[in-house]
Amino acid sequence: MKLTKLIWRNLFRRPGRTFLSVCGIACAMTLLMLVESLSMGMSEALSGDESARTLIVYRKNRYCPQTSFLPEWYTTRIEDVPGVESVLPVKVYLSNCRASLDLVAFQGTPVDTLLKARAIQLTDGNMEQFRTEHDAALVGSDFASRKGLSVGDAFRFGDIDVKVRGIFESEAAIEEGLILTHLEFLQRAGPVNRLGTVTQFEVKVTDASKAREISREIDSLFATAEEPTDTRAQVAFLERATRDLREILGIGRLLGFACVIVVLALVANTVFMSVQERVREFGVFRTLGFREEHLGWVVLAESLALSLLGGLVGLGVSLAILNGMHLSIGTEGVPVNFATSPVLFARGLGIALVTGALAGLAPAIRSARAPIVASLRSAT
Amino acid sequence: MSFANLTNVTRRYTKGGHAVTPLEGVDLTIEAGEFFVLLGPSGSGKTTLLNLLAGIDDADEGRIEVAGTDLTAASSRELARWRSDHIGYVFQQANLVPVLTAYENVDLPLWLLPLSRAERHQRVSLALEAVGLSDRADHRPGQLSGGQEQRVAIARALVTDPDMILADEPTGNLDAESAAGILHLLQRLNSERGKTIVMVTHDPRAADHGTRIMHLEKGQLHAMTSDESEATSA
Amino acid sequence: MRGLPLDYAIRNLMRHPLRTFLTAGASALVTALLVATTSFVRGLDGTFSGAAQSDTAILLSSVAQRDVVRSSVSAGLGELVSASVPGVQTTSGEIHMGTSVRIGAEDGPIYPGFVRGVSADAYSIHEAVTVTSGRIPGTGEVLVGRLAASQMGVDPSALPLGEVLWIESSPFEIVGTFSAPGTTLEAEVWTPVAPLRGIVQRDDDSVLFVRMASSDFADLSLFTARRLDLELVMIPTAVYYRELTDYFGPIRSMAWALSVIIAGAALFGGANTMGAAVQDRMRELATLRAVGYSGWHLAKSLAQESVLLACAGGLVGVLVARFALAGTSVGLAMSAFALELDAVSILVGFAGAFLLGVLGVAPAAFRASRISVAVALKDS
Repeated sequence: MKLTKLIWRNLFRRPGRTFLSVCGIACAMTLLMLVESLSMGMSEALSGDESARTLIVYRKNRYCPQTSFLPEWYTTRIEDVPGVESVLPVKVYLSNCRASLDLVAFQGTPVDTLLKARAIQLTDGNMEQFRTEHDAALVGSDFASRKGLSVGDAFRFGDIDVKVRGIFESEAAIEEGLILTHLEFLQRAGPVNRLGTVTQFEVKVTDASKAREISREIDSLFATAEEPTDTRAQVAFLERATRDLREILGIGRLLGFACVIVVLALVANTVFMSVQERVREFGVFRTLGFREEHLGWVVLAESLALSLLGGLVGLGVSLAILNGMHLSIGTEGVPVNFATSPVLFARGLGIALVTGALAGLAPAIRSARAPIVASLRSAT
Repeated sequence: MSFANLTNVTRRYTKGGHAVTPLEGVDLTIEAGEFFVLLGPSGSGKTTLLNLLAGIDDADEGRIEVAGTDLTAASSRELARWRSDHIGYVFQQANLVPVLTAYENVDLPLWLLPLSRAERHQRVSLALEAVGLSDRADHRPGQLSGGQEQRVAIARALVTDPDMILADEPTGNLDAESAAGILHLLQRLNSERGKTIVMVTHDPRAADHGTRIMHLEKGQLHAMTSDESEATSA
Repeated sequence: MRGLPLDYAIRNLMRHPLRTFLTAGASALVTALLVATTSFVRGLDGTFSGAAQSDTAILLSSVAQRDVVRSSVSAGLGELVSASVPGVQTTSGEIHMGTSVRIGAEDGPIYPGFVRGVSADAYSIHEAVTVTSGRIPGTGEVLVGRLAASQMGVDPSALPLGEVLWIESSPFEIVGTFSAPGTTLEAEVWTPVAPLRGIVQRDDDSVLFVRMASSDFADLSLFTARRLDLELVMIPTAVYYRELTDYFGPIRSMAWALSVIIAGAALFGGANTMGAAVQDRMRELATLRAVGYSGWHLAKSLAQESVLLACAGGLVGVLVARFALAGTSVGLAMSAFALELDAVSILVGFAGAFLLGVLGVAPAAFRASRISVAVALKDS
């Protein structure tokens, strides 16, 4: 603990230098956290307890929900397939199929089946009102924060006018970016010749291990129909839909890696400069009886402290951005949030510490092993 | 009783492409309780000899035994421990840690010892008192004069109660008055507390404070006669 | 007075090689990033703006929210428009669809592709298109764009002439390739629209492209306003593609914001290095002042050091970007565009490095110019 005082004081020996370093590290860490946040959001979107048991029946060879039209009567045929527990027909209406920072995604479903099939919990509002009013909507908590919506507000998008009758949270993260409405209401928003159609069916199976078999059976039912289907597990479906996002995330990851390099270079540079002006001082320490490892740890600890300081500032800034701006990115109807959680920040701090350790390693070893006499003769 | 023995010690190194041999086949015995002064011009190897006695440099040939320990056979770790237990070192430039107060600078060597906070406090207070700087304990080096800094450095060298104090040109950077004060302090430590002191200097007037003076030149040690001593101090 | 020679600045850079290397490295990274971001943004912008033609408009269905994929217009609309609207030169009814494409075999791996069913007139309407090998396709054949492979996520060698693509379970032979620089068309697969309608079981088109004799669309606009039964909206291609470009505004802003953040981090690092350079050389700089050099001379010399360092790093950064980006393309939003290093992106990257050098040295140069000679000479 005595050396801690020395480490802390040395950090502020050159306050200007420490300030500049901390700012630089904070910049890089902010960016890194934003990228990690998106990555976590992506993982959350693609996971979920129920996803193993859920199949998505989609129009074969179609990508954008705008182009998938399946007859609603497929519901009863799919329900008859052995192993199927429930079928939820879903009509999807989107602002745009492309990667967007402001995705608006409506999902229209039969109300009773919706409440059975999806694990949503109302945090505010009235379920009865949602049931009875044809233009009522339940809004996911993420979307509500993003748009500043509360229960009782009206929300308009294109030709669709809904009244917010409830705000919900869900075990499946992506659902919190959606607006849920009545199926018939949303069907009327589309072209006249497409009434009676839905975009996809969500099928819950009783036994997840039979999912593949059931998928094949469903597709074989409609193989020769006018609208053939392509049934796949929800995760596979989401992965396909989020391909664009994952490409963006890939670029983001490279940027994140660049950030780590920048932090590494900054901290290494600062620590080296700090060590260079204390060569003689370290020689004195060795003369007094301090061992190589003492000096090594002091330098390493300074490096860690610098990284941690910058990392904490960066985390604070990124937290402010994430909470203040409610960032979200969506594609093909799948909204992905920039997630915030204790795990994210632990990860960020961990990266800061590891980077600090790596950056401080070379100067620490060099300081520890410097010959005493040569150090004492040094000008600094 | 001999405290330190150098037997046939040689030290060589390369400087600017040239081979230099500051010490060649040197034999030296320092008795316990002596105030031994090594005189010699700049670059004569005085500091090299001091560094060998402190165990911070290695001899190329010969044997060095100090306070019962063969320094030439000890490992780096053992030498560090040994220094902490037996040696106090005073540098020409005080070499205080600028971010620590005078108190903390003096406390520094005690961080290595298994002492309680109270014990450390007592020792530091005594050391600062011995050098007359108790009222400057909270000052950082930047707030002290050159002479005061050097006295803090001496307090730091004293605080572990070492067997031997090594002083490398301790008055080299000081004005006459401060230098006199430092030398007087060292003399008192030797006469009143019985500390073995080895001081190197190029200043014959500083050398007068020692109980034995030797001269180092061209890698060889020579005892100084009383005439030589008088002549150089005149 | 002439001032300190440039040689002095250069030699000072070699005083601390590691520090110099780390700072130049950060500059290189920022430059490479700026070059990449500029290429990305210019590619994104150019891709859409390149397709705009002043005399061409698109007719889409009014319920399609101006999205060609979502749109549906009657297959005979072209004839109707030619007959009803004065000044129409040519029309081309087209189907635009994102769909699964298999390469080689009917059960081969699936890739997401963008298929455009075109009429014979499409080749004269879309002036940017040039057939670079082979010929215009007939029934059961396709023409493949230069970046179609990139959009699908395969190597360009996977789509040679003669290869068979399976679209909507029907085989199509590649009989030609085309380029359309600066447009999204290059990422597409073209085939005649009439046979495609049959294969995808639709009797409509997605959109109608209309080429007028001049850039006056008043008559065409009047037509769509009068014929409410057709539920059409008319958008000049210049407007349509500008809207698409604007749509990507947030992503562009995000790309720039990320670059600026990293540049900020590097800036702090650079300021640190130059601050340390002044600190190390206080006495030396004071001596120069005592000899007769002015504060301005010192500041200028430091600026030379900093700018030299930053620009050296900048050169390396440009080279790194050149090699990293060569031949790459970005697949985004059912499209793809090539990342090409042009003079503008290199200039932006280099300018960024220069700016980094100038801004980074500002605090240190200011400090150096105001050294108190007496105090600094006393400083140990």
